[in-house]
Amino acid sequence: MSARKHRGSENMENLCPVTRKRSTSKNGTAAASGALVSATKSSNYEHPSSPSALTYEALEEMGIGMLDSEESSSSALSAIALAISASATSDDNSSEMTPMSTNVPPMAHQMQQQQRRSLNSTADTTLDSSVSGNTTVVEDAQQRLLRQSAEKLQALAQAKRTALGSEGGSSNSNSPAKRFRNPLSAVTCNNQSESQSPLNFQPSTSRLAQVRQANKAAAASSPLPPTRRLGSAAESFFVFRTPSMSAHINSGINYFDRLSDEILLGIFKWLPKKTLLRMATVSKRFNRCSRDETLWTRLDLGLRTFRPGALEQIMRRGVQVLRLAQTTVQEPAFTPSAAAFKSRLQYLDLSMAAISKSSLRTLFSQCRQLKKVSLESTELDDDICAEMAKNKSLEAVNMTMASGLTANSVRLMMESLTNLSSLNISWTDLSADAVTALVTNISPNVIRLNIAGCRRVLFDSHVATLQRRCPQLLELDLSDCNSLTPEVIPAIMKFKMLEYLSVSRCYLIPATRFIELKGMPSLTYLDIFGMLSDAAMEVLEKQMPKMGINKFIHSSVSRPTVGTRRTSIWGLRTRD
Amino acid sequence: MPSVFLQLETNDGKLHIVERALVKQMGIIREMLKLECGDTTEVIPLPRVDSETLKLLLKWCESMKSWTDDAEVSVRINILKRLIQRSGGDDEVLFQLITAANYLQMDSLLDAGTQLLANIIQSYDSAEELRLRFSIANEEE
Repeated sequence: MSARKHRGSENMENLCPVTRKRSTSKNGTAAASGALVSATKSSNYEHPSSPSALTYEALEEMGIGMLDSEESSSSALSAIALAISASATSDDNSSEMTPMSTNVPPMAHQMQQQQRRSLNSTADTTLDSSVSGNTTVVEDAQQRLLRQSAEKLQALAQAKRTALGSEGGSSNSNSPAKRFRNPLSAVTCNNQSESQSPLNFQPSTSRLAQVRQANKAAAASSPLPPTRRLGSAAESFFVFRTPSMSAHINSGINYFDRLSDEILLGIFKWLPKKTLLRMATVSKRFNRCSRDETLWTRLDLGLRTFRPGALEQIMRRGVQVLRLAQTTVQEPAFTPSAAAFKSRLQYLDLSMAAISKSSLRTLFSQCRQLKKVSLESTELDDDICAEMAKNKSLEAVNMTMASGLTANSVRLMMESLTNLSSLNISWTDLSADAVTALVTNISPNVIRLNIAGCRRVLFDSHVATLQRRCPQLLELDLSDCNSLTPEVIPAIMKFKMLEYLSVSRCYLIPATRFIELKGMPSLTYLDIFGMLSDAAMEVLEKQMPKMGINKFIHSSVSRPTVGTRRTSIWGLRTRD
Repeated sequence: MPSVFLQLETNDGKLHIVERALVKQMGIIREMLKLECGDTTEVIPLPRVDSETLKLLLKWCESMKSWTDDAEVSVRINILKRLIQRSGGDDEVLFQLITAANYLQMDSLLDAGTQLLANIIQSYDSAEELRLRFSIANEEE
C-alpha cells in the first residue's frame, strides 16, 4: 500500500491536479470525516419514514454549507440520508415531541417571570392607591390575570417556537432538538396547546388566526401595556412575508389542485434540489411529484459525507448520472434488501470515494446499465469486479490507482466487457499474470488504453499480444513500464492507427530508437518524459517536426473530469 | 388565401376575432391550421379557456411578437409578472394562465409561468410558509 502511494507521489506531475491535491490533503479529509462521524446524532433522530429530516438543520449538522456554490447546490441531497422512505408517521411526530416539550417550560417560565414582574408592579400601584379592604379583590383579579396570562404565554411560547422551528435556517439556536424537528410536528404542537388552553384556541390551520385569537383574548382581559407588548411581539413572529409578498394574501383556495401532475412536474423541474426536498414535506401530492424520477436524473454529491443508508436512498431516486467523487460513505450504506433493487445508473464517478468493499459490491449489484464508471483510488476485490463486469454495456472504465485487482478479476472483466472502448488500469499494482490476462482477453473494441506503471511486469511480449488483440488502438500509454526494451518498438510500429503514444520513463529504450517512430503515419503525439536531456530533446524535435512531443502531462483516458472542471463527468452535466 | 383574422370562441360563448399571425403562437391552433386546408372562416372553439384568460393570452402574444425568438427567460418572466399585476395580481390569474398555456400548447408562456411560480416557491423558507401562502391543506392532522 505504501509502496503504491510512494509510486503515486513520484509521478505527481503526471497526475491531474485533482489527484495531486487529493494525495496531499488525504490526511486532512480523514480528520474531517472523523469529526463528522462523531458529530452525527444518535439514530433516535434519524426517522426513516419522516420527510421532516430533509431540512437545513440536518445539513448544518453534517457540516455542509448552505450557500449556493457550484458544488453545494445539491448538498441538500445529503439530507436524503435521514429519510429512508416516503411515508411520514405520527409516531415520528410524537417521538420528536419530547425534545420540544422541554423547551416549553423555560421559555414560558421566562415570559411568565416578566409578566409577573410587570403585573406585580401594576398591582402594587393599585394596592397603594386602594384601601386594605380591596386587596383581596385585587389579588383575585391578579391571580385570574396571572392564570390567563400564563395560559396565553404558554400558547404564545409554543407559537413562537413553532414559528422559529418552521423558519428553519433562520433560527440562531443550534440545539440538537430543534435541528431534527419535523416541521409538520408544529401541527402536533398546536394540538398540545389546544388541550392545555381550550379557552384561547379554536382548531384552525392558520396560525396567524390563532395568534390573533390569543391577542384578542389577552387584550380584552388585561389591557396592561406588557401584555400588549407581548401580543405585538407574538405577531412579529409571523412576519415572514416581505411587504411585496403581502399583496398575495392567500385566498383560501388551493390553486395547485387545478394543475395537473404534468404541469406540477413542469414547475418542479425549475427548482433546485434543496427546494425540491422541501416540496416533499408540503403535502402528499407534492411528496409524490417531487419524487418523480425525471427530477432526479443527475446528481452531484462530490465531497459529501453520507450517513448510513443515504446511498441507498439516492439510488432509489432513480439517478442516472451520479458524481460521488471524494465522498465518504458511512456504514452501513445499504439495507439487506438493497441488492434486489435494479438502478438505472449509467454514469458513476466514484473517484477517490471512501466506501467499504461490501457497500461497493452492493452498489454494483444494483447496477446493470452502467456505461462509464470511475473507480480511481478505490479499494476493490474480486466480487466487486465480478459485479461490475456484469454491466455489459460499459464503455469506459477508469481504475487508475485502485487496489485489489487480481489476475482473476482482470480476466473476468476483460472477458465480459466486450463493449469496452476506453480503459485506464494504470498504477494498479498488477501482477505479471494479471497483465497477461489483460492483454490476452481485452476486447478488440478498446481504442484507448492506459497501462502505465506496470513496473517489472509488463514485457515486450505483452505489447505484441496487445497489438494482435487490438490492432486499431488509437491511444496507448505505457509510461513507467520500465521493463520494456528496445524490442518493443517494432511491435509498436505495427499499430497502424495509433495517434498517441507514451513511453515516458521506460529507461531501457534509448533515445535513438524514437526516431524510428517517424515511420508511423498516424502518430501525432509522443510523450517521452524523463528520457532525454534538453539538448537531446531539441535534436529530436528537429528530426520529427510534425510530432507533438511531450504535450500531455496528464492522461485523460477514461477520466471523468479532466483539469479543473467539476460540473460534468465525461462531458455530462451533473446538474440539471 | 386564408383570411388574416381568425375567430376563437371561448367557453362562455363569446367570439373573439384575432389576427392569425398573433395566435400562431398557440400550438394547438397551429395544429388545427395545418389540418385545415380550406379557408378558415369557421370558428375555432376553445372550450377550456374563458374570455378573461384569452384576453391575457392575447396580450402575451402581443408582447411576444415584439421580441425575437431568443428573448431571455428573465425578460419573459418579467413581462408575465407585469401582465399579471396589471390584471389583478392574484394567484388565480397566474394559475389560469399556466393551465391555459398548457392546454393551448404555448411553450413560451408555459415556461415563463412555471418559472415564475418556481421563483415564488423558492422565496419561502419552509414548508409551513408555503402551505400558508398557497392554502395547501396540511395533511398531518
